[in-house]
Parts: sequence; structure tokens; C-alpha cells
Amino acid sequence: MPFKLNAYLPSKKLETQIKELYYKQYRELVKSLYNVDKKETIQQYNSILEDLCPEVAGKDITFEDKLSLLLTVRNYCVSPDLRLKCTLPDGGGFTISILVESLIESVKKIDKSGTVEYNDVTVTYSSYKIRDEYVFLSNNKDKFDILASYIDTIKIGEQSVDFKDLTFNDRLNIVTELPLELTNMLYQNIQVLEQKYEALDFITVKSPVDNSVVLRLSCNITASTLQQTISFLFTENLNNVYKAFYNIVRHAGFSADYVDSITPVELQVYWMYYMQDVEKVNAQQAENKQSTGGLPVTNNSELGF
Amino acid sequence: MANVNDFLAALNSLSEKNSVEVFLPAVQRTVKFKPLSAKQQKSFYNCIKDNILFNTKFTLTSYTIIKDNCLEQEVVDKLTIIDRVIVLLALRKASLGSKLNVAGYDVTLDDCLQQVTNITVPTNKTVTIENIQIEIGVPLAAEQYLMEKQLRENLQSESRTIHEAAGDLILNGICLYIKKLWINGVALNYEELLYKDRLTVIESLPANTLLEIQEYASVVTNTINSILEIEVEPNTKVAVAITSDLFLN
Repeated sequence: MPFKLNAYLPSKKLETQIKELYYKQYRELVKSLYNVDKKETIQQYNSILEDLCPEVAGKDITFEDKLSLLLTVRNYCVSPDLRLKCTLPDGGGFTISILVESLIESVKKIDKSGTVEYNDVTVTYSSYKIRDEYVFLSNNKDKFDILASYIDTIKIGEQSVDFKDLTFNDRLNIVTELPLELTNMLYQNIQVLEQKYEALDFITVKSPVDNSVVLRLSCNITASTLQQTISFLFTENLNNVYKAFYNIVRHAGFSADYVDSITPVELQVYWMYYMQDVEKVNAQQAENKQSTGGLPVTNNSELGF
Repeated sequence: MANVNDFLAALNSLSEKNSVEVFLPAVQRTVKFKPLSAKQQKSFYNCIKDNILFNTKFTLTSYTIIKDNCLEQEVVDKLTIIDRVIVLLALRKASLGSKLNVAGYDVTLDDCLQQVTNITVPTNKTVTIENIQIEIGVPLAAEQYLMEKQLRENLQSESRTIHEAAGDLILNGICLYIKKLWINGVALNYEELLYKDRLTVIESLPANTLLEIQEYASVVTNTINSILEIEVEPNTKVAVAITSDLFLN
């Protein structure tokens, strides 16, 4: 039985459980960020999320839900700290560390859901759905595309339609046939919500030199914010990722299959124990002042953590 | 759970239920129209880059919307260019509200629509000059639509200035006002001609004939202006422009 973590889906206001992120999956997440086809990257992330949390498959989850799940696995399975290395225009630089837990708390508080009633029509909406992420990649601000993604259900009298069952084009067909007055009401409500969250900081980095803001991502989670945050969370030198895998198999003697079935943080723990053993052996050898050839391993700082 | 087509049908029924009642001078009674859908407003965005002299895209788009939304289809062919203006004002008010800013003044479309009941639509009349008889009347919206469709639908862009195209503008306008034409008492099948052929006929008419038609046309223009013009200050009037911008604000 895989170990499960508690996570939160802000759009559903629901606690859920998510499986641990295995090293193999972590490697795929890191690797897919190098893919030039962003649509494929998105699909890969969504597919891994569905593997980790099958419960979300039928739920039509939002950008905020996706971010919450990714932050949770990042926090518990990779590292609780997000380290950002900033380079200033003058060539200088600094590193800051942000608690992933604080980002999880920020995302938890985002609630873009609402209901609009117009004559006999009731429309419920939450936020952008992750299956539409590619539609919004190029800063698409089309009103109808936004509504087609935001809307959850529409009810007219006794008839209702659940947008999670429909393709994007079908949703768009329905949205464009809605009374103009209703779409304007919906869009205005959404704009008010987005402006509210735009004013709230999600990630802010200030320069230690003059305290000016060098990076700001707001709590209005758009496709671009989501992409940028994901790249912060899972960007890693691919060479480090492979080298860590190689070292733990080659030198510490773990099987490749086993390494692929543990989390990156567990891998780090094993490597730490292994290094402690090596150090003990080295210390004993130094104490005995006898050269036995020693182990062929030196302290490795390229584990990618 | 409804499927997409069932749901679209339900939306159509809802539009019919929430229809807008518009008094139309052509039929001297109110006629019901479905309110604008989001898709129809979207179609006005395609009219932003239009033929600046003839507003071809807007003419085609707005007529299509009027035709699609009219709940009494038998009325559509009777609507004049005056009715067209009234329907567009009413649809705009129903979907986007009555308030509007014109030349820096806040106005309401209610003021325009209230004036509709006060207008007098010019009746058809026959002009006789020498051996030519011409029946003229207020152009139908359908004719205006057909003329733009036949002459300019596929025109990519208009490169002429208003001065260069003044002659065409006048002749095109006159073309719509002519209902029937007789020469030496023999009826010409004018209404069955293509618009390019109608223009050829008009070009060969005596100049004084055209002046009579222009006079009648100015009466119709004044009638439309009496709907669109709103007094915002003593002796100051502004006119609501019937263009795609009206539906995009």
C-alpha cells in the first residue's frame, strides 16, 4: 500500500489524498519541463497527477487544485523549501528560500467559485480547468474561452448541463449561445474575482540591495502563473537527477527498481546514511593510519536537492 | 442531464421567452425579437475593420441578426432602414443596457426609443420627369443587405477617400430608394435586376430625376436622425451612431 498524503482541492473545498511522488515520476516531471512542446508537458503533468490522485480524474479540477496537489507532493516528497536563485542586472545575485507550506496555505485560500442567476438560468463557476490549460498558454484573454473553462454547470428550468462532460468546443458552443446580458454578468463577476486575487501576493522576491520587488506572482492563478510556479517547483539540472540515480545504484548498491519506487526525499535520506557510513570508514582508516584503498566514493554535492 | 443539442434548444426557448418587444413603424405595431446572444455580439467584433464608406460588414451582420432574432419572420421583409435602426437600438438596450456615452455626454437609448412613436415615415411617391416615371420609397433593410452582399461582400478593403467615392455613395443610396421604373409607360423590371445593373440604369437617368430622389432621401435621413439625435444641452444635440461600436461598449 503506497503511503498517502493529505491534500486540498480549493475549487471543491475538499480534502483529498494523494500518493507519494516516486523518484521515477519526479524524474519525468523534471525532464518534461525541458520539452519544447508545452502542450505535451501539461499533459504529462496532468497524467502523473491522475496517477497520484485517481480521485481527481472525474472531477474537472482547476488550476488552483493542480497547484495545490503539486505543491503538496513537492513539499513532502522533494523538499519543504523552494530555493530561488536570483540574478540582478548588475551581474550580482542572491538566493532566497520560501516555505512550500506557506504557498500551500495561500492556494488553499483562493476561492473563485460563484453562482449567477438570470431569469430562469442558474450558472455555477469555479476557475480555469486544467484540461484547458493549453488554450490559455499564449496569454489568451478571449471572454468566451474564459467562460467556457470557468463554468461548471448551467441550469435552465429542469434542464441542466455539466461542463465537465463536454469537450471545449461544445462548451464554447453553449457559451456563445447564452444571452449576452448573462455572459456579461458572468464575465464581470469573474473579472472582479481575478482583480481581487491579482492584488494578493503569492510569490514575491525583493532585492536585498534596495528592497525593490524583482519577482511577483499574484494569487490570481493564470496559465502563465501556473507554468512559472511549476517551473520553480520542478526545475532541476537533469544531469544531477541522473547522477543521483546512478550514484545510489552504483555506489550504495540499491536496485534501480527500488530507487524508482521511493520518493526523492527518501533517496536523499538513504544517500545521507550512506555518506555517514563512508565518513565513518574513512575516519577509522585515518585513525588506523593504514591505507586499505578505501571506497571509491567522495562526498557528492550533485544530488539535485 | 441534457445533451448539447437539447441544451441549445432550451437556450433558444429561453431567448424566445425573454423576447424584446419593439414598435416598428413599417407594420405600425410591436414585434418580438430574441435578445442578442454572446455569439452575436462576438460577430460585431469582426466588423471593427470594415469598409469605412459603406460599413458593409456591419450592414450584413446586423441584418442577419435582425432576421435570426425576429420572432415573426413574415415581418422581416417589410422592415425598412428606419425599422432596422429601431430594432438595433432596442436589442442593444436589452442586452447591454440603455446608457451610452456619445461625444462626452452620457445619454440613454430610452430617449431615442421614445422618439420612435413621434416619427412620420415618408410614404412612397412617384416622380415623373419627361417620359420617365419612378416610384420611390423608404429602402427596405433587406434591399440594403442584398446590395452590400452583391457589390461589396468580397471587397478586401476600400482604398478610396470619401471625396473620391462621393459619386458612388450617392448613386448607391439612390439605387435603394427606387422601387419601380417606367420609361414611356413601359415598366422596366428594375427590382429583378442585379444591383450592378441597377446602378448602370441610374447612371443613365437625367440629372434632375436624381435630385428629386435625393430630396426624398434627405427626408428619410432626417426621420432617422430624429430618432438618433438627443438634446444634451439647450441647442446642443448629439447623435447615436449605428455602428458596431454600439454593441462593443
